[in-house]
Amino acid sequence: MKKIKYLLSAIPAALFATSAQADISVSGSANAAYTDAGGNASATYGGGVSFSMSTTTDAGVTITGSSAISNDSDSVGSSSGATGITALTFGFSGGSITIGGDVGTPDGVGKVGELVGYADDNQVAKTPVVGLTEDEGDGISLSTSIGDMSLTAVYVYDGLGGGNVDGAANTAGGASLSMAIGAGTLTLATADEDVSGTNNTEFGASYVMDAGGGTLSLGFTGTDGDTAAKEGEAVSAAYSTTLGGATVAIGYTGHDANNKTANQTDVTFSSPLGGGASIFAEYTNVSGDIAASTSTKDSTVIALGTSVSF
Amino acid sequence: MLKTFSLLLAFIFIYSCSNNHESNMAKLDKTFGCKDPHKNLSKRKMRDCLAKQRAGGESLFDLTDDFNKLIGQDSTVIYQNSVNPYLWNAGLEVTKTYPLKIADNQGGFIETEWIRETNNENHRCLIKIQITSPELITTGVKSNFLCEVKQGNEWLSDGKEYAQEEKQITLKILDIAGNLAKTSL
Repeated sequence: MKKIKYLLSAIPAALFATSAQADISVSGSANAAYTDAGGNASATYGGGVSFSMSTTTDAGVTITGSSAISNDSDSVGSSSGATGITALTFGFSGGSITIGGDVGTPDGVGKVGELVGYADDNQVAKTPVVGLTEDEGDGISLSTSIGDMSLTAVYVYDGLGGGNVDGAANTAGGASLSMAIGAGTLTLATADEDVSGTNNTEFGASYVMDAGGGTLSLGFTGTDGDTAAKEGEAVSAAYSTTLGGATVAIGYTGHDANNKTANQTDVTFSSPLGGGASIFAEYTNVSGDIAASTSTKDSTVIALGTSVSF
Repeated sequence: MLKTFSLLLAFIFIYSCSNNHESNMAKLDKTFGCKDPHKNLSKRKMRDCLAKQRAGGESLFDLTDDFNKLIGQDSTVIYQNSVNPYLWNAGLEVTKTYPLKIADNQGGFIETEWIRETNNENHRCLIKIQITSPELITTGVKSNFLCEVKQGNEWLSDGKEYAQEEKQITLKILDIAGNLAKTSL
């Protein structure tokens, strides 16, 4: 009997021990767009391929790293590059921890109406721009949930990507929280930055809900700190819906900072073509306190393009 | 700095209480798509995500599948052993002092030659061991102990049951298999 008991105690370890499993996934996209800013036409194109390598330890922790071959696809200048694995993500049953580069603070949560990704390339700048600038760099990000609430906390210890943990000139941090309230999802976020001794703090809130067959998003952003042009509020709204398979969205964001105001209106359209391809069109206009138009930049910009997902 | 680290420590503490993170993230994915504030996508990954979202979730190629074909991962042959190796090796260990007539590791069957006692030439026995499970479980091995007596020129079954001996053989095999499994961890 003793022997049987001993054997039974040895069996579970033998049965449930698992070996590491490695996985490689490959994805990518390519884009080409025509941009017109007050008669100045430009072409942008680019894309890249990403390799994501992951493994699962015996304890069930998933470790993921990714690298890429890329070409910047949203600016006129071509910026090709290949990156090694710059960050590792440790996935647990209750959340994940990311350590490395390209870790971003949860800023911009309230600017739900800023929709375009290509048309703003040759757009004149707004004078008041509420929000932070030091939002990405080397850092650590933790994501988890409490009940139905999702939480993310981020600390960027080196905004210049130099890996300096305790003495970098640029640092940032923040946290965001999302939860279901009523018919929609409320997200609250705060982020602060220290750019060579210049400190600013942003608070953002958004509420996203289904409305009229589409999705209505409302947002608010408030910035407080050392930079007068950023200190103020921005209100934002967007509505997106589908029309015969195509997605149409319209967004508005009003910035009010340092006694100056600027408004941005965006309209986007995209339609899938099948096989991973799609076409898109973007329109954006800024008004109010903005920079003067130049031979290459204008307050109104349109972009037409196509993208392919691999 | 202290404030941030305090926040992170509190976060780790809260983290330990979480058990539905994946379902929450799936809900946020559905609501926000690529612009999920908790996704923390880099600029490059955001481009890939938006391209796929615009395409309705489709991809032109299955690069992962193609890449796996390229590196030969899809040609993996899965071999399922029907005989637990610890039990099999333990069976061989138990019978190692006797000549074996059959040792079929695919079928998990071991049978010794007839074993005779030097002081009793008219009595012989053999051991049959059958490993019946790919897993290390106590019911994964069966042992039989058969004996014959010589009557004239013929060997006939002695008609006895050797339940205690069979049990001892089985327990010995399980004992050795348990030790083998323990030492291999």
